[in-house]
Amino acid sequence: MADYSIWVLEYSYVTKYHKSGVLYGAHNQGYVKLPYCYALIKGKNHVAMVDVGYNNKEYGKALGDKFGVENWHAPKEVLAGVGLTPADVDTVFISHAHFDHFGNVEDFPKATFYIQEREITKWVWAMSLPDRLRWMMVAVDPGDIIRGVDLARQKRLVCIDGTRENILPNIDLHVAYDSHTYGSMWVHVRNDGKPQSSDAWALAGDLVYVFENIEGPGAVVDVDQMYVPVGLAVGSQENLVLATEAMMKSVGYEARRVIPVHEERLKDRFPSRITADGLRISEICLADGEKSRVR
Amino acid sequence: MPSSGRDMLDRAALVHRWDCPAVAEPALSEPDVAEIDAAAAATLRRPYDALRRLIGQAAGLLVLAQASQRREIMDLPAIAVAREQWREVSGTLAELSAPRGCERQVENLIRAARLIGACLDALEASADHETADVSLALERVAAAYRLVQLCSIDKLGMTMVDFRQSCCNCGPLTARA
Repeated sequence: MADYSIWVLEYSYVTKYHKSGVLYGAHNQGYVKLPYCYALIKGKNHVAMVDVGYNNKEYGKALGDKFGVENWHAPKEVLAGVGLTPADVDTVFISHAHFDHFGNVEDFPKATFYIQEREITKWVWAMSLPDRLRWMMVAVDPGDIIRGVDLARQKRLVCIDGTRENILPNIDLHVAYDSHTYGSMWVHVRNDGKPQSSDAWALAGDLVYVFENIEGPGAVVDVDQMYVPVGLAVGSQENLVLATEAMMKSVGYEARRVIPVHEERLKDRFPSRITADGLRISEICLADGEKSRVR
Repeated sequence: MPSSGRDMLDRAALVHRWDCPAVAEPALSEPDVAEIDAAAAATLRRPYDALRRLIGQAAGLLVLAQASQRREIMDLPAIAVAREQWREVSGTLAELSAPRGCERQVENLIRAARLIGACLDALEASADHETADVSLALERVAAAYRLVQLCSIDKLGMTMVDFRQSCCNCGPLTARA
């Protein structure tokens, strides 16, 4: 029995991203394709998303011209690939406040958004620091926070503090403080509805970028595999590794059940297809009675 | 300061206050830009960035006030910090002599600073009410954002979001070579 379907929906990509950005210590090891994606969860009369992508109207040209970000498509076009519209989305979990995750809230007119309170409080603090500490405030657009104010005014933004169980039926939110960001959040879907689920999925946000963050090479310490944190974090690599352990524990240490949305090779583990727009849909799991959107 | 506000920021695990001696001494070098841009950079970049960051602080405080509906938000030291930094940048702008060709930008930055001050006024005034209503403050900070955004000069690093070193987006220019 599975209550929820989960898809990872690509909405843009960078064809050549430096590998050291996604894998700590991978210097001079070339580039990887970095898809930009959000996750969609459907079931129990809910349509939820993990993150909403970036606002192409504001940043599209800059990202395209300067950094080679390609093929951005709006949520309306991307969600059509699984037969849905942005207006169908009732819940959005914001894994963190970076512009490419929290930047497109206006495209989801009926959704209630959830974000960790500390992601906001510590952002306020970081923005009060001098210029030379600017590294601690990168990648967050004050404009996105302003749009967050408007959501809050409409009672569509909820700040939570720490773990929240059953935010939707059998879906839990967990926090990894001072890791990729100050209040990064991951989403735990218990698809069999049991507290100790044997059919659980962890949607990792940017706590994990690629498979090697979970199944990294361990020869240097004489083990087959070990966790290797992502390359970019305002918090600590220690906290990233501990968050990886928490996610792995939540899925019974079955690595394929921790979903990194920036991983191009999801297609090697899950059924997928490329849409007419040249973007990938990866089908992580299907609820009972739900039809495949990739076959 | 009432303990509730302090508790809230304790959860933010502060390491350095904004005025901690470890971080308070200015030490930034200006970017290497063409001479014609140098005057604009020297004059505009710091107040631009100060306003950009004040907008972020104000917007974050408004989110917390509105989403939590907790009066303890008004006890946050971050509000006093924002007010002090606002006074500082307002003073800088008042004494600033606009480089030729940059008069409009300076005018917009001054207007943005006034709006941010008004936003902070509205935020503080909301402490007098049982429930927070940030509509007026939101309107002002959003207007300030638009004015500062108009002053952005990408090649001088004056952008509303800092893409450098940011996660999951910035294949550097060299990556495209």
